[in-house]
Amino acid sequence: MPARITVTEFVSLDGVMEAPGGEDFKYPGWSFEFDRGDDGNQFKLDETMAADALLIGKRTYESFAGAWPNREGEFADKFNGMPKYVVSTTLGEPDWNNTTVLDSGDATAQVRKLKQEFDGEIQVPGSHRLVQELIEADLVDQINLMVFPVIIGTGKRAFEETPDRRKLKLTESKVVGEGVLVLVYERA
Amino acid sequence: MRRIRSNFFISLDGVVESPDQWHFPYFNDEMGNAVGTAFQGNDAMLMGRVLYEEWSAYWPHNVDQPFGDVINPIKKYVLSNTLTSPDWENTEVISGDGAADKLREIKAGEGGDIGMSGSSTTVRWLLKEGLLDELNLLVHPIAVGTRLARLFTPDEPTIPLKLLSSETFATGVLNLSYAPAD
Repeated sequence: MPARITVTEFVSLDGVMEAPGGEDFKYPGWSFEFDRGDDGNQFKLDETMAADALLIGKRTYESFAGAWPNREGEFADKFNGMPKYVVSTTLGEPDWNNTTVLDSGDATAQVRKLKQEFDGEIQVPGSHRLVQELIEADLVDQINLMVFPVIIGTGKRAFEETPDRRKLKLTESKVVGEGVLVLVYERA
Repeated sequence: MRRIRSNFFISLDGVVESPDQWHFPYFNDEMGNAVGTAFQGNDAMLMGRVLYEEWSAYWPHNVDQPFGDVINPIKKYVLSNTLTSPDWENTEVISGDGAADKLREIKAGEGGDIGMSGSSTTVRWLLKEGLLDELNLLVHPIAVGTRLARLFTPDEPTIPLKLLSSETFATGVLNLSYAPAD
């Protein structure tokens, strides 16, 4: 059975997904300004625990590899322990435990191969450009969004322009914390 | 205080243009009721020039249709610097540098709420001016993806919001109501 690929993003109401937890951006770490409540924390914990591997782009790798190895707790243990696949032509020897580099020359083909060979759920957090490629290649099975009540007004978006329309099926929706939406979409 | 309440059909990727190309498969009674509810309590409409051109070319000739009986007689405010003499009945043009003050004056005056349908350029301007009271979005479970206009364009100021209500329809459409944060 092929792996299931789940994209997971923090987005603003205007769809910006850039640097919700830090990094170099006009509004770094903007998602921390909102209270996602116990329900929201539980959703993220359950989601993370359901992952069997991470598939990420280089920038997200750098952000994660710069943070998680120094942290402790359930999230950190999970992130540090599980296999990570990084799509990049420029990342040399990755320092982060259990990381494999996929040469991004033909990212789509490599991910398609990974999807066939891997058994379990592969999660794709952040990873702006990779997500656009995966959506366009119809390799995404599920999209988890946490929508924060703010118009950020600038920055990379979870959904850039693509040539095709894609119908989705909303399978879960709830409000957590202070007006934060948790939405789960699957392929229609 | 009269509220300005804006309403959009919007795709998950934020497209609001040409809903006729993607909205209809999702229309059902729940959505019909939501649209009706959104206009309850309104006794005026506010629109940009683009929507004015579209509607004023159509509705005066279709008075007996549903909505035609409402939109033709209702008071209409049009934000435009180019429209000078509107032909459509009960239409008032608001223009120039004093537009925001004029709207503040209208909001402080007597009357019901002021509804909007679409007019994304106007809505972005109202948000920036702090004049918008409600942003109601019917979020359709589709990524339209093509070169159609989105509600939010890049290089806008950051505006914190609060979620007033949210509801999920059987079709997977979300009925979200936001207001600017206090």
